Amino acid sequence: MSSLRRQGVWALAASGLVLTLGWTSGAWRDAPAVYDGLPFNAEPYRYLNPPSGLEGNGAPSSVHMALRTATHAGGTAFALSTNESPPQSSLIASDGDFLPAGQTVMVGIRPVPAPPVTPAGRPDGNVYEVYVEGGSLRPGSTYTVALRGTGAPGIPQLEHLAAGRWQPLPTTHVPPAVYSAPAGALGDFLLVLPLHGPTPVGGPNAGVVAALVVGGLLLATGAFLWAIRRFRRPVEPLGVS
Amino acid sequence: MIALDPTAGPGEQRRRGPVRPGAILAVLGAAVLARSLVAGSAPWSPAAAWAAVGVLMAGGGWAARRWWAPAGAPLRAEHRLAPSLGPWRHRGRAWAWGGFGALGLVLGPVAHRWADPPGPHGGQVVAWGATVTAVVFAEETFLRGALWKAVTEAHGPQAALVVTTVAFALMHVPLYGWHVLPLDLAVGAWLGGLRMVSGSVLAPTLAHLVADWAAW
Repeated sequence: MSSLRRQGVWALAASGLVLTLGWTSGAWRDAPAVYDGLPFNAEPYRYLNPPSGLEGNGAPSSVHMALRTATHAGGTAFALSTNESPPQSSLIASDGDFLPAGQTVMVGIRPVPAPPVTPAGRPDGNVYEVYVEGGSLRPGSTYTVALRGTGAPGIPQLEHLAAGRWQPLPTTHVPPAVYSAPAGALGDFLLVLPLHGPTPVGGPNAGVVAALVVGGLLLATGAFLWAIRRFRRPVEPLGVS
Repeated sequence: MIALDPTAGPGEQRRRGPVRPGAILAVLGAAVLARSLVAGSAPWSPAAAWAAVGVLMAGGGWAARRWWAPAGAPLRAEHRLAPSLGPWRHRGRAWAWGGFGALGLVLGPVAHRWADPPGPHGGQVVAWGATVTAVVFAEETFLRGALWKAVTEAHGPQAALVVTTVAFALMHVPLYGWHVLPLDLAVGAWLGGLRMVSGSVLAPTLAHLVADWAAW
């Protein structure tokens, strides 16, 4: 094996080790699963109670489905999403997550008026209720809830209304604006932005600022390299190789 | 090192050298800046902005190539931006390394993110897929093709690995934020390792493409 290939193998081994450690430790839970996941032209966020000036965005949608539950835990996974593009709310579960076993229940997500309980931060979008009619969540089961943020600057956290207060869930950012978390109960969910703290990354303005910083950095580096080469080495005489 | 062609006229002599790393980094920086400007102006969608970046990067690479090797002058192998794919037996090795690299990039996210909401659907898939593919080819041609070759000629392959890894990580910051810098540094090193071990830009391109497509 040539020296160059051996160095390549070492580079692969080192970076592979870092990748493995990063993923297995959960350090990159908030990082994008892919490296060029592209944002789409999302339609404006639809508010249940729109702020002034955003009344024309339309009403948020609801979704429900009849589900034949499995007779045991686990079962077949399914996803349910509201109709916006991208969806403002989704759930991913399996037909074994619900009771009574072997029966048909109605599973749905709908936007609901904000309950009187105030979260610790700023609400980012609608409160969504995950509900099951004619059944319940199987004890011990966990499903995934995903809500889309409004695009307000900052990284929100998904919270669940339980025991009379909003409780944060371990939230994963799915770029550009979806946030998901495992949930062990039905009920109300909301994205909450922090009230204080440093300006979080991820908002639209932060992206532009980062682009300006990175672009400027690369341009300056390029210009610097060009300049030192220009001044260090004058044009060589013709015919010399 | 500037390699001069004794058959060229005086006006062409200075342009016969290999592409400079500084020129490529400058074009890369301009592309990142352009993305921020384009993405911030309606009615462009972010996907269109990224497509524009891909075009700009590919066009910048082509322009740099023409600048350093004027029209009418045959490109010598050492002046090519994207290295030759090489003979078929080497391409087979590059494909194999690319497949291995794709597996390495996809395994982690799939193991940890399988329950994420589904990716693009319906009519979005075509636009998304085309844009992802264009961006991947542009990035790889630029980073592991042009920049890699330029830095290798100036400072050696180890420097090329470091420079392309840092550039790859930095150019993704505007989209994802600074918190993904460690991940993209590791991915950049992984792709650079594939480039180094396979001797071709084909392997990192394949791995990169499969990893991005895995989002669907």
